[in-house]
Amino acid sequence: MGNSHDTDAALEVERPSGVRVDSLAVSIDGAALLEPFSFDIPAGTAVAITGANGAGKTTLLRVLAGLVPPTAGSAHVGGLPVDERNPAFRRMVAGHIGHTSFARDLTLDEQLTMVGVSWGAEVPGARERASALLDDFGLTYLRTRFAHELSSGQTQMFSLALAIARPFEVLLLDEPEQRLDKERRSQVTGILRGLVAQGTTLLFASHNAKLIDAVSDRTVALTRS
Amino acid sequence: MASDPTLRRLRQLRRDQRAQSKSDLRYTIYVALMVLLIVGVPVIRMAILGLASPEIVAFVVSAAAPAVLSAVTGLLIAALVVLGRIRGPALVDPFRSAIVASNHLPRSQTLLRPFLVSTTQLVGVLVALALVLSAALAVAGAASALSVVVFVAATVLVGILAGIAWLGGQSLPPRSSQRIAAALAAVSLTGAVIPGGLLLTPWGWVALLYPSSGLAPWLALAGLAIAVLAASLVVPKLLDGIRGSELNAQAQRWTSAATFTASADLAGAFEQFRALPTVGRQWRAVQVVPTPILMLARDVIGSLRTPERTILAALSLTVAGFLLASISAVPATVAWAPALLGGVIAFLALGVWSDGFRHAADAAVALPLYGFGVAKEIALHATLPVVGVLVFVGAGALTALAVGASPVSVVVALAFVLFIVTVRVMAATKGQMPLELLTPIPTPGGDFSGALVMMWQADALLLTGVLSLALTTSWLSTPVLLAVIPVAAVIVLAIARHNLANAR
Repeated sequence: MGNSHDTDAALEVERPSGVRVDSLAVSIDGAALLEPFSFDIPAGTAVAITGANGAGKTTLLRVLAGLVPPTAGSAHVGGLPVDERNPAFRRMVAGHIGHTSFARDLTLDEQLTMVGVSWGAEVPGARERASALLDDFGLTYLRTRFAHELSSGQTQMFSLALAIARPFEVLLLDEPEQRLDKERRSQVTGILRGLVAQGTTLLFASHNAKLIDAVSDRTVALTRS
Repeated sequence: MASDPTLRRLRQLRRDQRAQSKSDLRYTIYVALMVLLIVGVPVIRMAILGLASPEIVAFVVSAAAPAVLSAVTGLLIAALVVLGRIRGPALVDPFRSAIVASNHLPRSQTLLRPFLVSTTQLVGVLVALALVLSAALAVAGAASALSVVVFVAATVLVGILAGIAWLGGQSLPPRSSQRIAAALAAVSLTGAVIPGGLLLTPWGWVALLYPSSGLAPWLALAGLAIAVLAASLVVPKLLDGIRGSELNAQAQRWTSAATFTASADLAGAFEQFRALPTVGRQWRAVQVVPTPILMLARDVIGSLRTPERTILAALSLTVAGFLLASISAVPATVAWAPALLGGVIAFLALGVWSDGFRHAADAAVALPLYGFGVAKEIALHATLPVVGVLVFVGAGALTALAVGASPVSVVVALAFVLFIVTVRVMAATKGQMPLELLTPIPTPGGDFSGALVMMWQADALLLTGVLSLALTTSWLSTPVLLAVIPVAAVIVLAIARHNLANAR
């Protein structure tokens, strides 16, 4: 039987629920990808999900994103049951889990602008937001590049920028520190802390102790029996 | 024996590799022979008999036939110049490419052999086509034996020129090869329509040597031979001009494509050759206009960032429109040929403007990135291919109308290619092949799973092909066709929707 344990049980509980999971489990043909566990995270909290490889961190994030259905238990995000068919749910949850699909024929600047426009922003406003994001992620000098022209670290930074270019309340990130050097990790840490300070509920899987310490209010450790 | 030790080692490497792959080679020859006997011979026989039918003979002996041959040959050479940038004739496997790219030897020595092999293969294919055409003319009594021999010799010479043009595409800077290809295409089309235009180009000279019962213009053959000799002089320079990075990139790309093909991932294989944008980065793709126009402008600008693809798509759709509309202008017995060719060309051309569909389908299986919703996003990305069909297929179909096609066939051509846009949506949403298809299915004729995999991979193309042929079925009258096409489109879009729902 797997379990989870909170490293900070004294967190306030009267705030609206950000993410709640009850006896959630995922298995395929009897093989457990995620063993049953529960937790309840208030809105505006940053939670790091830790655990060894294969403990189910990515699976948990994919369930919360509505990309994988649970085989047991339930999950709610922002008070809504996880269901990617629900437009309100889709509007609430953003993230970067695994591969990001880039528009191969648009520059970085244009891709970020298009994301904003697709969520209802006016083009000038979306352009401003795109410029700000490129600035935050240190990508301004690459604004007219195409995604295939980026290095792997730059690609990771751009993927994170794309993930937060749209409106959201809950942000799910799978190992945001991947392929980033120390300076870039520090930049990402600052961005994530800023988002949480603005009220974003953040769940991120990570193996990086410094990032976890700097960003998370709470840690959920997944273990396998 | 080569005096340079590096060259000696390279040749030894090739000999060793050949020795290792002897059994593979024997198997390849066996498969090629079986395919030739079972499929090739009946197809060649059918082609010759089809070409020898009275309606076709009337065309191939007509005064227009040499001009058409000249234009087609010129366009083929222009296409080979473009192809050289994707897959040049002087190409070896990635390992030997790395050696060739990094050693001190001139590439006119190390890459000469693969160039000669590729050119010989190209000449072989062209000669086979020339023989089929000549045989049909000879069977119909429209060509003397001597004229056939001269025509085949001319084909060999123009094949060598085409091989050198192909090498030019591989060696010259991209911008130069683009301009050369465009100039070749323009000269070919112009030469085919202006009086005396056939005298201007070597492929025009081939057309002058078109098999007939009269005397062959020997001067044209001599001119071709001189042109080949002159062009051969630049081959070493072109080989030496091939950039090592480009050589390695082509070799890696083809090896990756072969690996994807072997694992039945044709989409992955095609992905290796899809040109990536490198130009127009300062153009503004996102304009302050209403969303549908914004998406059309975004797709147009995005498309223009790979100009060769866009030009190829536009020209191909024009040709497809011409072919599909000309069904009504050719004899009923051969109408299937322009219908099938037109449908397949339209399907392939629309692949260029299906990037939006692919991107939307790809993004749909991850966390939502765009706020449109998948169905709306696909609909917005459909504007460019629909406009492209109306403009370019329309232009081709109207050209066919001017040379004898019926007005109704113009409408059918447009409606059918618009339907192919929906087939492209279905193909984009297909996702990964189910692994169950790889399960062996033993039958007395061998494992049937390979056929299923091929059918899964090519389902959209097969559907297009079958429905293209249906356009020529006499019992499907035009009103019925125009009613059936929208229904088929709705069914295909329903399948796409089902694909997307299952992909999540």
